[in-house]
Amino acid sequence: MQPLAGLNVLDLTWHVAGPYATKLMADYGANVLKIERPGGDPARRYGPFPNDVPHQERSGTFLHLNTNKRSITLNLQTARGQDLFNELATDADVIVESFAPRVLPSMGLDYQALSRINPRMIMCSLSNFGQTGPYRDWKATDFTLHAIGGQTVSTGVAENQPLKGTDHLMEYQAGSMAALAVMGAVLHQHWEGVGQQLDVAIYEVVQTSADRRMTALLGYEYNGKPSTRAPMLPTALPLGYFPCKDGHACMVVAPPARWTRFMGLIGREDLIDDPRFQSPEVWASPEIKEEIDGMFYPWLLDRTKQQVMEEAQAARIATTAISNPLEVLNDPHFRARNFFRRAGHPEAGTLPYAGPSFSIEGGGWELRSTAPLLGQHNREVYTGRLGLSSLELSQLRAEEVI
Amino acid sequence: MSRLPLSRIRVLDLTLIWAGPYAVMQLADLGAEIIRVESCQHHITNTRGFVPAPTKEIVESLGYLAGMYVDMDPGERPWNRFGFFNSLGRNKLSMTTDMTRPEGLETVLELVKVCDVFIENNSLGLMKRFGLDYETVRRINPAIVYVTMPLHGLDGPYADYIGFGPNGEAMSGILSLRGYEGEDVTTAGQGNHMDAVSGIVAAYATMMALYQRDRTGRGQFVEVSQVEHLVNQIGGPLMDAAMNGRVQAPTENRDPVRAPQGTYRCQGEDRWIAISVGTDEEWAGLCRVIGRSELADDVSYAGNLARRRRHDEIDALITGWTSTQDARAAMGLLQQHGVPAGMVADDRDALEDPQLAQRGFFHEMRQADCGTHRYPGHSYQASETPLRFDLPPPLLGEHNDYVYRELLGRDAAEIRRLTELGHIGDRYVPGIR
Repeated sequence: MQPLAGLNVLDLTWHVAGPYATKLMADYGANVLKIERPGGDPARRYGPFPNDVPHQERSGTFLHLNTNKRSITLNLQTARGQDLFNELATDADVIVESFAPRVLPSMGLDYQALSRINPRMIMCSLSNFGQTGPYRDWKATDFTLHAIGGQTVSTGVAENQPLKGTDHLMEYQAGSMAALAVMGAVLHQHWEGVGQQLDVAIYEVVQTSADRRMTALLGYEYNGKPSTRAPMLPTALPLGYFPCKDGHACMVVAPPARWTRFMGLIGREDLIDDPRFQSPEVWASPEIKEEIDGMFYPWLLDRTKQQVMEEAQAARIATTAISNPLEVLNDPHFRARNFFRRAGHPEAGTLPYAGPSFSIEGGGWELRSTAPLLGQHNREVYTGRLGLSSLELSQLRAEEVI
Repeated sequence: MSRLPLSRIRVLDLTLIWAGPYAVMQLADLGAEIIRVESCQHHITNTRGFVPAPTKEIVESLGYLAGMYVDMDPGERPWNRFGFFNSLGRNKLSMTTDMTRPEGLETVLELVKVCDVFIENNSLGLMKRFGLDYETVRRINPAIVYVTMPLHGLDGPYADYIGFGPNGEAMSGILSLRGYEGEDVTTAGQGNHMDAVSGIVAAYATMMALYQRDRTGRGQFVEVSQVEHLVNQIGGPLMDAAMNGRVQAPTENRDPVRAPQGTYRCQGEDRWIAISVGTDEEWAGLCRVIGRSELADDVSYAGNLARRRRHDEIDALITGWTSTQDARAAMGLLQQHGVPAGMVADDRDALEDPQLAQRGFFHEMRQADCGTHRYPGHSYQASETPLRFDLPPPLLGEHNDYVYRELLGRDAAEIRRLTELGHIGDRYVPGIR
């Protein structure tokens, strides 16, 4: 049995953050019903598409984010649509939504209203800035949230403009956090029988990010030293990205490896005990850095990034070849772990899908089905779960409710 | 207030640096009792400091992260004054024991019996060398949820490879998608996205395993493969590689679809604003704000495609306006006109931010060795079970008494003996690095 088998999730999210949250549930067995507006999740138009030909069932971003879900269409702007949603909500364990904060209340579908129908239900609202506060209705994208959340200012180099992160990572991170918040509430629901409302703001997820952000915030509060685009540790011991024969490698020479292992790696055992090089104060000196770089770079440029990784790892120095997505798809490690799973989709054909982020008892994650076609489960849900007749179903279609 | 979701859960915490302690912090916020196992004999770098007891001079020479001591002063007990550790330390208890000696290992195994979760993010194989692998731990407590966070997973050619956040970004492909136009990766800047999201997903997985334990009545083993989770976060570029064999390149600050998008210089030193326009409506708003309303009606700027062709020219127009503006004021004005804009905020900006203030984001708290400070708060809010923020970051060994006396029931003589042997203590032994 998958860990979340039996958990009923109504998914009112689109684009990246919300769908990633519900993917993390669906991939581990939750019964996720994706409720799409007529026209579908905008991620269906996002691409990439095979041969760059747009098609609502072939968007790579959508296909990746919506595995193991079912899809129905429903127009929540209509009174009938709202009634149908209320019916679906009666036995939902979890509702995840990513509307702008004023939208659901304007349709009478806010937590207060829905919890009267289903008091043990959990409603997770995922938004840019949260359900309250002066920025509540502000517009934002992954790019602007990375900036106002405090990440951009310390990304890149001081000599150049501040740099965005890899696209969508803040959304993915917020989606992970929403899944976490829901799981805590699910345990509470399971043990205490009560539901609640969760308010996840991407802005606050960025501000509390462990990757420097929250740490730097406290550091500033402690001593007034601000986040910068300077290297994290300006030292002669490698910490960063270095050129190799065919690309770059990332190397972090950290204790306890330090000097001994580093000199061993580049074949300068003779310098291991040299008193000139023995302390952090010395490694911080620009002259010493230049001297050491003079030995290090020729060694690097003599090797491929894969060789650099293998030799340095053999010396227990944290070193990794920098890969692009195509290299990731073909990497021997992921192949050996059977990480990418090839699966067929009626419109998009057979593609490799990223595998589990984690496993429980060696499993838990399954690719039961690829992403749903738009409205693929309308009949099953409306006639099956809600007991409508085929005639009523076609009326809903005619009235553009679904 | 009703009890917190994890108030019945006790966690044995053997994590280090960022990702593991961040995961544990999430569980702590939700009410779990955290027993953090530390040691006076073994200092783990970048956890309670780069080195255990740096001098003031070393602190000055370290960067903004490694050198973040209160008032730049390492003080009498530097390990309690380190912002890196303390930013993740709330709601946790700290005890000390030296696991490399038999009495220390015995103490940890005794703790295993009274805990629900065992969590660690050390390099692969270290727990086995200590005698704390899953098989051993499960024999002692069959109901345990054992969480391990191997960088590359438990098997495969790179299983034994070591690495930190930047290594994970390199391996996953994420790093290859960030950078300046026309420059190689060496200027892409350091990133540690992995530490954050590994912490989040590990806490998620831990709770999922607790749920599964409750439903099956059996303990659970959780493997969080940190790099594989990262790979999941570049779905689009991976699919492009799979579908079209295409390797996407970094786009500096531009967007593949929306235009214009960039960071634009504002008044003041290193002050910038991020603006992203994706519709003609947003474009019209931007034109009004920068005093060029006539461009909103000019068809040669209609649509993202047209604006992308004139991106350099548009960037110059925007900078002409932003460079005379205060970043926060410009952000407010642009938002009034419906333009997605965010100042490139720094630490001070967050501490002065009205949104965070109104949401009660910062929590003032006193820790004995640091004094009173504002701590960044929670990532989300929960209506029925508000997340806790009631214990300051623990001093090294602060809760030894609770752990040894109350949890483990050791008597005074035994506690004296373990103190003399150096297991119980509140400072690192001198001379270790």
